[in-house]
Amino acid sequence: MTWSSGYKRLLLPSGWEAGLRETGFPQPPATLDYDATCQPSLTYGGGRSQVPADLAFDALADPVRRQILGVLAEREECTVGELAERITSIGRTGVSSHLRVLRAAGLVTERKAGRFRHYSIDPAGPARDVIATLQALFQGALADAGRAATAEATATDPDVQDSRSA
Amino acid sequence: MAALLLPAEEWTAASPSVTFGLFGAGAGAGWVFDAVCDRVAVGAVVRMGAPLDGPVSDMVEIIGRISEVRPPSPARGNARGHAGQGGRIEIVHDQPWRGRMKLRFDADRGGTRVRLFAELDEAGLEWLMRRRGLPAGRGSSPNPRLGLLNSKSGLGSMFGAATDHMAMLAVEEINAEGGVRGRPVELLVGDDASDPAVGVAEARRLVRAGCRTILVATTSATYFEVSRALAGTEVLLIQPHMNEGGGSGPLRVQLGEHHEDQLAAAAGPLMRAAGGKRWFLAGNDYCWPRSTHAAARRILPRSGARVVGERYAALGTRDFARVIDAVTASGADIVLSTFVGADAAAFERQCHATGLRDQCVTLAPAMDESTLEHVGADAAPGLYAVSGYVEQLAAPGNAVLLHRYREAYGRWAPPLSTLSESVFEAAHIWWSAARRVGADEPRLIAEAMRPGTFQLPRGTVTLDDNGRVTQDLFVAEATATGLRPVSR
Repeated sequence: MTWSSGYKRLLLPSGWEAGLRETGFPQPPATLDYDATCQPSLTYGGGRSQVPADLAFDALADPVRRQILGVLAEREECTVGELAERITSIGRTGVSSHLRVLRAAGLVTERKAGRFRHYSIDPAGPARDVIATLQALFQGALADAGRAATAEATATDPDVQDSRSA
Repeated sequence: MAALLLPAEEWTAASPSVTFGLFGAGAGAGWVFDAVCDRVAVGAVVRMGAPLDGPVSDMVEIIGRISEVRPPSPARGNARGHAGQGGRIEIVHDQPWRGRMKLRFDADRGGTRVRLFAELDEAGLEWLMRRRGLPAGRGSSPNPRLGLLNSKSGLGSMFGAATDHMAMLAVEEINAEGGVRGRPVELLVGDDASDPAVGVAEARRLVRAGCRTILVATTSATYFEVSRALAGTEVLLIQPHMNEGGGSGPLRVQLGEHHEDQLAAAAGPLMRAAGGKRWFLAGNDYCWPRSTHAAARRILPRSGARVVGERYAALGTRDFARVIDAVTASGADIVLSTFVGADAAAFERQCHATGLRDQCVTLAPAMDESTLEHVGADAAPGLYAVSGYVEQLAAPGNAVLLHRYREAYGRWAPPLSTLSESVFEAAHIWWSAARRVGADEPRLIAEAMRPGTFQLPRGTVTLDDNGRVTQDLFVAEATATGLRPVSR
């Protein structure tokens, strides 16, 4: 995912097209989907594997994994051995297992060269995390507004149905 | 502006007009609808506390302005009749990133379909990634890089809201003129989150990214912390804002109004406006307010003033009842307020609300037009500022700058003020020295700056051998439409 030119476009669930036209945003290379529990997940570049947003959150919850990302950000590409030298709190095996979690969350990519595997940050990964977080934040704000509106309407007109029954 | 569009949607059984009416009402309707604004009307400033860091109480304020308001028109006929025209609210914001937020209210299935579209641009994405502790940055570049350390979150996000824009505008002009040795200058921005420790981490990041000069447009607390942390490195730090001086050295340049000059210029006019000579000193508890109060005790008595009291409140204070009680009890005619940013806005609003303003006026040397917007029109009368620049300054260079700014950032962008305009000037002063030196060599650039005389939008600014600044200062009174220079 690059940011060099033009609008980034989002493919949205049906019903959003009107809003898109209205705001003048053209059509997108990323898809935003909702699973049964309304957790957003994003797919980039049409064809990448889908990673649930909360997997990235879980991956980032661990300080060692954040440390690994920090080292990768500084060094751009590292082998497990190089990472283990920098992160002394856990051994080589520990680093490997954290890398697996980071890869599964789409935050880190792997490049094989001979006997070595080189790890670097997946440029799309953290962006995915941030975008999903922000989207959830706005969605949550609207849900709060909806609940408050229903409560307000119910107080003045008892016939108004509760939004939760809709 | 390349931007991602983030949509959200919710249905409520309430009518569009009831739902619309919740916006800005402070009714506990979530962080977007509980936006703080004096009125829901086009042009009103608005801020929303987004809980970006999850359940932790660390709010990030989105600060902007309402650019469109259309209440929903009532449905015609009975409940199954024609739906009325939908309502809409649009907010243009500049902090912590630049974007628009659109709210739509449409009658749907007997209730309301509320939709929200938020924009996130590249700078916003980069800022958010770092805020969440994720690595984000740009690769190396053969071009000279100029760093800007700004307060994009925390209490300082209110002052100098146009700071990023001013730096960008200056860099665009610099590059249009050939940059440095034919290479375009790249602007890299860091956010100190109004916290000196974060400022140090961000300054180090800018240095790692190749910045050899950093404009530190934050509180002095961050400036001095960064200055200490980068001592011994070949990095030039320029403080564009008003300051207390004291950061000497070959690689330290403090532009901006010196607090002693501000006090000397404002003492007489304020005592005439107040019709009294008793001063109370009140401010945030950090280096700039403390040293400004010390300067006030030296300088004000020369004009016959008497200091009758002093109080400090921690950064981030929202309830100033104890300070206001102390001022009231002291019988002061004038409050020297050295509160900054959101604290300054809250203090002035409370001075007005409690009736203290009827007893005494305020001189707030750090009050700028961005902060004043959050003080509001009602609390503005009786508030004075003193600076080398105000947006309403009648100078030819300022007219050109304002025109360029509005052309580039639109009518809803935050006002310019001495805190943002000084960043534009600092970038130009840096460049004029860098161009003479012909290289991005911090030590040589710092030497080439002083002594020097610069023709800037605010007028003539002179730096002597030691880097002490001389410029015209204006005492300005706060009005509903900004800071207006008081005739001298």
